[in-house]
Amino acid sequence: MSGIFEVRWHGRGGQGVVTASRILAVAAFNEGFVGVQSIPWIGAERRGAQIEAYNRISRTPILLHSQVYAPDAVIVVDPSIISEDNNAVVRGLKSGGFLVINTARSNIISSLRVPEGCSVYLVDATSICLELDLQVAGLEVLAMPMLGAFAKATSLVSLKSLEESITSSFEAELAKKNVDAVVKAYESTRKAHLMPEQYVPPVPPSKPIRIPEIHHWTDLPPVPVSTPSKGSIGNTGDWRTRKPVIDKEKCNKCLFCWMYCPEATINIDDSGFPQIDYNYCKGCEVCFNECPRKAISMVVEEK
Amino acid sequence: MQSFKNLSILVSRIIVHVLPIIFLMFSRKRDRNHYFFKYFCLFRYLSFHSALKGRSETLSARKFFQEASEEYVLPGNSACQGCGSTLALRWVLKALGKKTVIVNPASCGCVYVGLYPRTAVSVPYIQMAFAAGPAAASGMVGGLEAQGKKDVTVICWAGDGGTADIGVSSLSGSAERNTNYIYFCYDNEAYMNTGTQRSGSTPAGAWTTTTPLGKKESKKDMALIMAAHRVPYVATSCSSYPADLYGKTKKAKLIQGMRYIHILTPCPPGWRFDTGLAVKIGRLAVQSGMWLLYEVENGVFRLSPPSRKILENPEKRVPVKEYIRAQGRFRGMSENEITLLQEMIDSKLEKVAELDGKPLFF
Repeated sequence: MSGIFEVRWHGRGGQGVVTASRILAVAAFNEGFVGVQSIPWIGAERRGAQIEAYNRISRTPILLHSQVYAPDAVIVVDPSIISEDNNAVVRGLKSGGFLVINTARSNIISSLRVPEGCSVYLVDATSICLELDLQVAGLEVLAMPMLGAFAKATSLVSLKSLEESITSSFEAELAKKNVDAVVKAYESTRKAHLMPEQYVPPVPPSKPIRIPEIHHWTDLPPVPVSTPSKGSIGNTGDWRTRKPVIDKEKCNKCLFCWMYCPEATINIDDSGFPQIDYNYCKGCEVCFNECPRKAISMVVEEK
Repeated sequence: MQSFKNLSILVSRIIVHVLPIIFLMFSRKRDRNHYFFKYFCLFRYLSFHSALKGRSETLSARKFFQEASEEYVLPGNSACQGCGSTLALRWVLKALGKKTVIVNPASCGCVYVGLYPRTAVSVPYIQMAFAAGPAAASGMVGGLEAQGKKDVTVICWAGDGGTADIGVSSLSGSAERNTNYIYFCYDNEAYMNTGTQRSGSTPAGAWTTTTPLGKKESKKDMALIMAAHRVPYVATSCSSYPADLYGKTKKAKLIQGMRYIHILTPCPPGWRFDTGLAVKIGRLAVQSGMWLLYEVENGVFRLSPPSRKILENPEKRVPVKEYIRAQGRFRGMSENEITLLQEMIDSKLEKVAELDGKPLFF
């Protein structure tokens, strides 16, 4: 490898993307790369929001300090991001680059559009996390198995240096769980074979927004007033890994779930039963814990 | 003394039940609607408040639904899963109704309200600089008064950083002027919007990114500071008790002058607990006596039912260890420190029991 190898992570807040990117940088340093960088890109720090993180790996010290615009590898931690906007994920990806995706669903794979010459690797990180119970505060740390998948796909870093990096950043028991997840992902990662029509010309990197010059007050845009609407940042139902399901036989219509829902996603239908709006339910499990009759159960969702 | 009490009850009954009817009979038709509406509100409030004080602290949710089915915080906003603050805002707005203007200094509230061109709150919502929330609210109250709009409630919805640290000077100024608005502080006990930095409201022993070994200093008691301003109404509440919060907000709406309500809102990412426990943790805070629910109305201190319950029945009090160990942010606290905290809470509750129903200041 010559020059700088650049990596872009796509995930959601709370999935451990920033931590995983830091671990990758340390692992690459252990591997013998002199120049390593790990850069988080977050708006307001908030769970569930789309975030990005960047890595630069080089044999020589790196003097460039910016976001990554033309990555050699893209890691997609949350599959709902790529099904939302394919071009936003592959933007700037060099031809001959790597795309590592966490998914097990065939419809996501068949709807992929990747730049020519790219190789796509798949791993089912969600079920690895569920299997090993790799969670922080109720959320699956999906980014950790992706490290193993990245190592398999690019063979830039070895499993051994990843393991060293993980043990140096976590306590013993936690580190073991994370190493298990990485090894499991390394073994189960496979290369995807796409149809010829799924390869498209490379998508150019997005350009920074240019603010128009204002010389006179007539140049000003009209006063922006936001209008209230449901789903002000999109379908927040994509955030959840488990969904609440109401058992109508046990439910006594006490409406405690409606009272305690922080999202106001629970409505009452004509027969008086609570009804959950799955488009916006974030899967926080408050209703599951507050239901006095235990009529609500959490069901793992396919993503 | 007893007969005097009976007499006062009789007089108040006459004022509440009989006078309005006489008034309505002899008033002009135009005024009649107005007064009818006013007394209707009062009746609604009184019946609600008696229910709140008497039988139980939670009305049945079904009764609640008939009264407050309208949603003003819309689903699909960008708050975290299990956010206590959106739950609190949801119930505050249900109590205040449609004719409300929110002024919001920088906080999580600025984030979950959403980006242009869409917003998640269906009442006017103005985002303000960190230190200037109460100042902007004062200006808004002045503007509405000048236009003669008397039915609009102005509220300030601020986080604990914007209240206890950065916004405290303009808050104190507006309290001194007794500006006619309601100030809500939702207290998640750190700067959560920027990723958990210590604030004046963070309790002792809590981990934040700026206090990695646990905070040494204790929490600033904002509600009592505001009560010392001698404002007409100060209350504390918690997002895990929607009936309590709803009742206090309804009550505050009917009072003129500056009103201050301090709400404890558990924050899953910052306090380090599972999102599903968001309501349970707030309830543990109240049941252990770590957080007290009370009102200071015209200087008179009165405990609210959930807190009075643990004072009257010590066997229902939860050990504070249960609250502390349920959260990751207190992981650094030793058993000794927890025992000390328990002793502090016990002595605090003893003093509070003496204070209940008495004037707070000389």
